[in-house]
Amino acid sequence: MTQTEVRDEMLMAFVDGELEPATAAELAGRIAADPALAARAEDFRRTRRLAHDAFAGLLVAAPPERLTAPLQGASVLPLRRPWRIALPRWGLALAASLLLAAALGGFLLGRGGRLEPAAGLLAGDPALLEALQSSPSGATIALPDGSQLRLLASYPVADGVCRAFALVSAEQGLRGLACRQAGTWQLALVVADPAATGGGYAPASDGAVESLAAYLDGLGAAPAMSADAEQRALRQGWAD
Amino acid sequence: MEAVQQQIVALLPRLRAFALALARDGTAADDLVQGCCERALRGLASYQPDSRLDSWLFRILHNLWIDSHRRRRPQVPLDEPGLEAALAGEDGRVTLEARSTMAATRRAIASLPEEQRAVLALVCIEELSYREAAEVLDIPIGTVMSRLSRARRSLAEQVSVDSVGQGRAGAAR
Repeated sequence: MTQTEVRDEMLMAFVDGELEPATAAELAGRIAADPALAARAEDFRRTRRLAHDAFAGLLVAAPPERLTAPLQGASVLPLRRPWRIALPRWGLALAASLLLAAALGGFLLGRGGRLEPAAGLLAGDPALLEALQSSPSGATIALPDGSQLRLLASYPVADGVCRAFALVSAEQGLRGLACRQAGTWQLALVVADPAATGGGYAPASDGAVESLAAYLDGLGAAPAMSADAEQRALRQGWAD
Repeated sequence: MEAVQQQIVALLPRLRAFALALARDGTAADDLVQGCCERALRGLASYQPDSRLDSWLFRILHNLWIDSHRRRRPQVPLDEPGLEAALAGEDGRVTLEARSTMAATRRAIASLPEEQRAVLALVCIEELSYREAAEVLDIPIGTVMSRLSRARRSLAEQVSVDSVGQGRAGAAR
């Protein structure tokens, strides 16, 4: 066995279990016979333990809500922060993926391929209205016509709140946004979501997400509410 | 996608530890983790499901740190009060002596160059292999080893054995 100086890197790799078995065995023999080498090896063992222990508190601590909330149901739509982009020109931004867009109080949409007045959809669909009013994001609700509604997130806006949802039937997938202002829920925007067709809840296609995100950005919506904040708002019926 | 989100939630503590080693400030670290998660959610399409999620997130977080924080070179010491609470406050059984050792260790780590902090955190705190750390940081494995050994030598010198309250195995040098 050669008695060349053992470099720090080699000794450290030995301590960290990163050496090939044959090399490690040879070095172990030298360390056993050389107290100075053993002391250097122990330094590497000790510093690994020190570094780990110094941060161990964080490794077992529950992360704050501001980190967990966006990952737990509140942002199936990975929204940009509202101030980052300006509202794009609708004609360009919504393009082909847009089935139907309507400003507040506006247009039409129906499930199952029919179009009907948006106001009619909400007023005439107690299940949807009830879900918007009282179901938390993450909840999935079976609607009487066989389609499934899933609430995705709630976004505070200037004088109320908007809730994003997915509506999936055998024929089509939609992403929509309903906003509650002056005590009334109205459909703000609905886009076709090809990724969601067929009953599953695949991630929204980029077009659908971008459209909703752009719309929310245009409203100056805040980031998605945390689960706790939403729970409080639900209990209060979305009133102040 | 939801499954991945849950996996990211489970990795948050490790992301926070890595971020804290880089940023040296509790609030800045959590900002970094938050930014990392936002970037990850936007980039889920580029994530290969068969690759390691933790490595992918560490890489995103490190890139974000390079992009947004490096130029500022914050001088915040690692032992600011909120950080101490975050790190040492959970376990009431931790002795005063151990706490002072942990505090001394954190100060020593904070004083290291950031390139050394990154490898130290990935290998000793996050328990990545040298190769995995090299991939996260996009540097050669030899560079990982030289930075890591220098970091640990500094740490060994700054945090004395006496303060740890335990003897060194083997004979004294």
